[in-house]
Amino acid sequence: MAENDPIQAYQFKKLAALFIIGTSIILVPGLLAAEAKQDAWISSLVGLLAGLLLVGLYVALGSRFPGRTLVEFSKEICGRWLGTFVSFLWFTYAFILTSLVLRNLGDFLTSSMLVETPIQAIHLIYLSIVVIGVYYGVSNIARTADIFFPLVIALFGVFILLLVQDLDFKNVQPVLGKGITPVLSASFPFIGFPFLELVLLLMIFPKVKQPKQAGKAFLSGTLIGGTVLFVITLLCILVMGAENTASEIYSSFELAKKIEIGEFIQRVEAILAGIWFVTIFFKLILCFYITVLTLSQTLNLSDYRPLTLPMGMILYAVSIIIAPNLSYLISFDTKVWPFYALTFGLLFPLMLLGVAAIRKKR
Amino acid sequence: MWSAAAVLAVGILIIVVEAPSLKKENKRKELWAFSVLLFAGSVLCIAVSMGVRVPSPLEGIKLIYEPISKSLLGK
Repeated sequence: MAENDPIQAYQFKKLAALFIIGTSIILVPGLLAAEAKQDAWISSLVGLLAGLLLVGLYVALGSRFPGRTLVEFSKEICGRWLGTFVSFLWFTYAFILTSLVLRNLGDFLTSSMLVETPIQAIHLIYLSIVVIGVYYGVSNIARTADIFFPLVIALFGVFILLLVQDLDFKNVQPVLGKGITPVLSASFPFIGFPFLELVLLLMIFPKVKQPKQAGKAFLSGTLIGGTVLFVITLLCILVMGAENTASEIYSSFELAKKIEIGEFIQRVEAILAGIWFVTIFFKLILCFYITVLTLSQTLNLSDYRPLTLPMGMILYAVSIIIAPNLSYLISFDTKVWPFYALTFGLLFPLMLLGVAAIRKKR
Repeated sequence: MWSAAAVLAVGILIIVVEAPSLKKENKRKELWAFSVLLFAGSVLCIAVSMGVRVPSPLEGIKLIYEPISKSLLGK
């Protein structure tokens, strides 16, 4: 059935780009500006560069084992028992990420647009769509990306055009006023979120029909996604200034509220929030798909589909209990998540690659 | 109370949708994994709907990584 349907390299590129833009587009400018102030755009460039290097590592790892997913080759490299343990750790990583993404969406909607809606209702409805999508398999997700990716890029283009008149280049001065240190320390959480999460896409990587082009697609997808994040950070700084960007949690949403043309076109942020809905949907659906896939392959099941509905129930509950409030989440995202992600996104792939090289498996 | 009933109803619905085909094809391992997950999901959902304080999984991660973070970032 749909499970064995391959996806095309260009679809994988779009999926990688949407995965990176995902929830980051609403959170990243604020996080970066809090630390690096007017140099946040440099931090995002540093992050993009590090992201490309990381993806190079993942592609090296993925192309060493063509046709095998992250869990499958982890098991092959580490042997049966240790391999199962490592696979289970991949599952926990994917699961925590999925619940955080869902919670980010809920927090964003309840604090900015649907203020009186209970967060449970938003989670329930959004999760239902995602569960249905995962049930239909990855090639359907990829074809959905074909439809929505141009829309995201077009809306993003409109977004930039509408803001051109508000750009104020005084806002980025002085460049590197406090030296390079705050710039680098701001880019650190940004590398963890979203770039170190990309390792999970190795679960989908082997499903690409053209293995030779898959690596290139992964890299160019990362480049597209990272560039979008760079542009949105730069726009936030240029239009609102460093202080205002840093003081808002969802600064790119505040940015959309600033759009005003001749006192006639105003408050169009709801339309532009379309970008957010679509990209968060793709990040969530990919994360959830990867979660059930890692679990089913860890347990050596023939099909991931029976796990989808019960997993959705668990995810719904965990997304509510995962954090008592937003400030807990933000402090977790900046202080703990980068290190947690570093373990899975850098240390594990390096170790797997090292052991595979020593044991000369292929 | 009603929310717990709703969770149970959803759980039964999921069983009706998934279980017969698994049983027919005699996929025992899948059936086990499915049942364990469904049980865990129902218990968690009922606990959340009744307002029971369930510890967040992030606490465990914090326990391991916060000392590292504090010593490296110094805050």
